[in-house]
Amino acid sequence: MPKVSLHSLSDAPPIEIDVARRTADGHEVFQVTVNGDSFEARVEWAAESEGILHLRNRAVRFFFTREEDVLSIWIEGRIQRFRVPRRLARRSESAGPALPAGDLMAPMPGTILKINVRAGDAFTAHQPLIIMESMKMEMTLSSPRPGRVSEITCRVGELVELGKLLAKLEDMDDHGQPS
Amino acid sequence: MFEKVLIANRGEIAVRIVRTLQQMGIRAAAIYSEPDRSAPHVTAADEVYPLQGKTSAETYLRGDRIIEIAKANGVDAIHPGYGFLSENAGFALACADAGLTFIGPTPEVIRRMGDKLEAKKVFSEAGVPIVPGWAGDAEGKNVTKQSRDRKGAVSHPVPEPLPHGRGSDQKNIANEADKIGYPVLIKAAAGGGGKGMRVVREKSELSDAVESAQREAQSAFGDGRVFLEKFIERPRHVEIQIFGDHHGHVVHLFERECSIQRRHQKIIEESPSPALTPDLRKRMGEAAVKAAKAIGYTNAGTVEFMVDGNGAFYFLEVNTRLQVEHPVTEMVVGHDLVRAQILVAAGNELPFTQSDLSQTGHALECRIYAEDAAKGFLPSTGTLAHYVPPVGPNIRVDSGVVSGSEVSVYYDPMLAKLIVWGRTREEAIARMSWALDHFVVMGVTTNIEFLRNLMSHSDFRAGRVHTQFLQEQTILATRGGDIPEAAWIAAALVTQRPTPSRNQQMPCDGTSLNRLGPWTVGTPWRVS
Repeated sequence: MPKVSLHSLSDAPPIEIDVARRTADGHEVFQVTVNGDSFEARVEWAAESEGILHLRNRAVRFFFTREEDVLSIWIEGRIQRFRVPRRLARRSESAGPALPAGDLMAPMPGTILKINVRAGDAFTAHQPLIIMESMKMEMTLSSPRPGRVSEITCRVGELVELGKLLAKLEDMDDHGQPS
Repeated sequence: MFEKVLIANRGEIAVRIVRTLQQMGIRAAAIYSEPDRSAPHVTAADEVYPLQGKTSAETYLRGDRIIEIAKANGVDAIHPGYGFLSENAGFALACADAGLTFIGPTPEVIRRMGDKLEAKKVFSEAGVPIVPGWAGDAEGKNVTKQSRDRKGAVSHPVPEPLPHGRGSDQKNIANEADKIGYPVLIKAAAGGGGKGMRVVREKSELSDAVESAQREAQSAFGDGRVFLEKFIERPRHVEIQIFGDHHGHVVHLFERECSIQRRHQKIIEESPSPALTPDLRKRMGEAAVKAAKAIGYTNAGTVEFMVDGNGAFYFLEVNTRLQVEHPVTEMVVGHDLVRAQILVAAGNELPFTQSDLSQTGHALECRIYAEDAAKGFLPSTGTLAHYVPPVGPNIRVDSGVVSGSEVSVYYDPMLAKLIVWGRTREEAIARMSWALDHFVVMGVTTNIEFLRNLMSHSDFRAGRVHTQFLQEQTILATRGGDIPEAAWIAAALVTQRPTPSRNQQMPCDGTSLNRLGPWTVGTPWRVS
């Protein structure tokens, strides 16, 4: 279960929240655990930076902004500020530095429509590897750099959650050899 | 009646004037500076004209340019709002010379009331109590002439060099301070906004304080003359709204209490004042009307008083314009003051007589500022990421901004005025508290939580306020207390938020993968 560490910019001590994502009746819900207390929470995103938090017997409207690693949330008449890991706080990122080998994960919850490659296949940059469907949107997953598939960890028709490992990939050097 | 009125202002007051003009079937013309090209007052108006530049001096203070625009575009009258050119007698005169109606008092009244010493004389002669004091070297013919220059020309005159207090002057001031009795207050003759003002509690502090007040007044107003007043401990600021027409009628629309001030600027205003008895209200109203009649006052104005702990009141000054806080009066008397201003300026009789007027219920106004109460109320600038004012019965928000507006260094950092009405003061405070709790402003630091804390302060709730209140009390800038569970969870879920593309066919580029959430971050394989 993923843990989210939150540091308030006020004097409040930091807390860890366990957040488990699942889908219920087509909605994304979270099983949230704070201080041993576990309950269900759901957010309806009303706009880019506002939403309605459904929590227990309440629905609470909130607004937020992010600047660098500070997340500010207006909720219940007060603005709370939290420090979140910088990479999560980024609203967007241009092509960053080359990263070491790793995994291809589901960028959104959805269904795997098509898998174009098999373990061991080499691929070129931007070659469609896996096609997913989510909320009636089709999404083609590819890599900006050439590489080789070391393992496929999903199958066609599978309903995957956000962040599910879909394939293990490895870098290739300029001569087509695994690096 | 006018067919077209130009508003020589910006922000919430310009929006508010546009609204009334349109409701009266009059075309509203707005002017705007470069940073204001898409501001709410511009989108609200029926026609708009640009002014080159960004600063106030380049734009909203350019009386000559504004008159040119008005003449070239068939404008009948100019409403100056508050601030900017609203109390500039030279501008009022230039309007008249150009055949335009200036919506406000006559240039002569603006000029006379703009000089604080002249105004005191007028009110004193009309039998209105004045704070014991000494006008010193600021008195006499020289003063009147210089102040005429100050308010009497559109362009700024070169100030005469001033006799800074030295030698016999200083001795004279010390003698006068002894006569008045300490503590005394040093004030700038041309002053406002607390500049050039000093409280002196002991004789030994006097000469340094006079010199520094003179220096400050000289640099702020180009006029270093100062005068002395008896310093009233913990006074209330109570002002009377007056209104006159060109048919000899002058009425008052009761009082507003504006004791809650920071840096000598009001942030909360209300009507009625919790301090006034019906008798005191009547006497203050009558005193204001009597003096206003004596000078032939027309259009809207405000007579400011200090009220001490014993119910004695002293004349302070006259503001010859619509006040920022006029909505609290509108809510308790039920009249649109801008409409009345326009009617009167067009030559009509006042739309109300004194006996028509009464106060119903209680109105409260909070000024919503982009400022940090934790840092000495320092202005805060930025882009408004979220701006969602509260709505509901008996809640009025006069806004000068919308979501996406830029709050710049160029103009006053007041974002909006939040005004509520209740049958009683308690009801108004409860409604204001609710409204502040539901006022969303993100992107700049505001005083909303500070104001909300004030609403909970026992002395404020009891009406025990005075102009030193905020200096003496510690009011927190934020609500404080535990962070509610919902806030923690909302924060946690925001960090988990996927950002779906809006495209149907969604080539998921490398940019968006990094917005998805913690699981995908760190993968070398960008989805492209």
